[in-house]
Amino acid sequence: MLLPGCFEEPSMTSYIIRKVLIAIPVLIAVVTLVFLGIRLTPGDPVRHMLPPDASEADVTQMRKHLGLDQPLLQQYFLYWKRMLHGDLGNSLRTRRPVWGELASRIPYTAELALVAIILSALMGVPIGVYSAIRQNTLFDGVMRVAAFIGVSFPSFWLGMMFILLFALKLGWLPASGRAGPIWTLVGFRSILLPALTLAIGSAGSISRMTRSSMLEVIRQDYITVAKAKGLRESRVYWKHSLKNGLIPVITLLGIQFGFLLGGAVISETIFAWPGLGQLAVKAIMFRDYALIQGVVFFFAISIVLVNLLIDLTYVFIDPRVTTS
Amino acid sequence: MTSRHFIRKFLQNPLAAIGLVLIIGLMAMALLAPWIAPFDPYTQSLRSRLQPTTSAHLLGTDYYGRDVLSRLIYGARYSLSVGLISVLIGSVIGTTFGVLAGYFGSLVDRVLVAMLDILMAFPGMLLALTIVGLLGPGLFNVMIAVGVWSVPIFARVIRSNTLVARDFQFVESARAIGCTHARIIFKHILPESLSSLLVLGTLRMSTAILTAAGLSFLGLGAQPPMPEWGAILSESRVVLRQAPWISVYTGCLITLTVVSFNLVGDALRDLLDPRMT
Repeated sequence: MLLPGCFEEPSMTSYIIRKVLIAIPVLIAVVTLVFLGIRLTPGDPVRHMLPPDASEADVTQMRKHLGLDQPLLQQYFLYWKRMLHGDLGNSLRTRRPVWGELASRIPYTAELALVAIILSALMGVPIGVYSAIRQNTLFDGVMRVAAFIGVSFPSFWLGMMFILLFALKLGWLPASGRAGPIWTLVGFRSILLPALTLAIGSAGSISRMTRSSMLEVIRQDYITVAKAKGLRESRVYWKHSLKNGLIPVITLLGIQFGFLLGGAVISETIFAWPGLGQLAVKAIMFRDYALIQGVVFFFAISIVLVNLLIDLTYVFIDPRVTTS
Repeated sequence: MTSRHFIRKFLQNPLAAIGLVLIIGLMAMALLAPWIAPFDPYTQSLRSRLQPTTSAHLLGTDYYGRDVLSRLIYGARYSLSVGLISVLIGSVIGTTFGVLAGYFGSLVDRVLVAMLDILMAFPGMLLALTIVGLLGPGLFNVMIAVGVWSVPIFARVIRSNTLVARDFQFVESARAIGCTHARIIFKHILPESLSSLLVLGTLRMSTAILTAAGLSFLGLGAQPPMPEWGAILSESRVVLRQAPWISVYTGCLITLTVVSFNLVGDALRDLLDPRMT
């Protein structure tokens, strides 16, 4: 029989390398799908870029200019070559480099997503823990119904109702726009409503996950031992249980990040927040393919990176994962 | 479980019964729209713009003087059919992928599962947005986008059902007496997945309606003056201060629809397929 510790444990480095290697094919697949999607969907993208009265000669010239007259495989390699050099092309509408358009908006979406994820964790985790400790009480029941409704709520409507209540009726917060950096009072006030709109749905999922995960943990032997030793109940729950109960919640935070990016598109449109989501909607409306390609690529990279980060966070919370 | 026993058990759950009644009501509203809507949803009347509730206009009028109640009633046609068609797209393609992967296994399975994993890696709304981005704005493209998003979800469940059903004795017997693959799949394997399909289809309806309304709200789905719920909500944004009732009523209706499908879907899951989450 092998004694514990006799296995040759894979090191943390090999775990990290393995995770990075898994992320690469996903990125390649996303880039390839977007490349093929744009070129193989019905309708000539060049026709959409030019005014309706453009001549056939203009169309041919534009196609040549964009390299769309070359064989597909050649276009594909050229596309990768450019992308690896950091060249995402120029926006078809504004003629400015796509990378520049993205870079100017990334900070705004990042701050919105960050505030939203903090708000959703601040709402979801304590509610989930408290619901688990007080399982089957009135509080638990009310919170479970609230989480159910929260998931069914259209976020775009919620945003409008927030504007109606907090901006138009009560006049507490601005209705739209980004008034300044987040550390200034006006800036902080202007981010609250868009971030809250984003956070409500995630908070529902986080509280449900925290509740079920905590329910599993607080029934384990070491919690009983901790209680038997006479530790204060709050210390047992909020320190000993929460650390293990949070592992699945962290995965969920990663998944929620993707949802937040999707939700940001809606929240940014309602609140005229100058981020990537608003840029994406405009790009789609104007069929600005270069920009659509850039935005999708950026979203894909950030989701892959966040998932990677989440995987690595496990190592610190629960070092056993490297051996699994 | 006999069908009568099933219906009785289902209706014993009060929330499920409420959900079912609401869904039947919404469907009736959509089907009977021309007869029950008090006005034509497109007829403008600039004289009666932005009126609150009156005896003639129970839910008031919008910016162009159109009757909000009539627009919401007609909107049920668009919103429910968008949900239904996109769930059909997702379930047909997803089931095909799932059955092929589960039944044939080996290389087919590995390739299909890898493709589905990549689709799953993308969060739903972003995937739908990307597909609309590629195909261009419009209600039909929204249906395709929401349908494609559902494909991996259906495929995964049907694949695992097929993996189990493949080893049943009656399937092995069918194979032994020389039944064709198509006959085995349609006659013996797929019927085993019907309950999962029903549960998943109902739950996906709510997501599909919500996402399609969201895309129309962004201006990427139904285009004005079409009375689709998301589009009505989008139009009401401009007059939120003067006529908040339009967005309040429309949002309540969307939420009610989504909650109804979720209630029925959850109850069906508890009854038919408790393992599925």
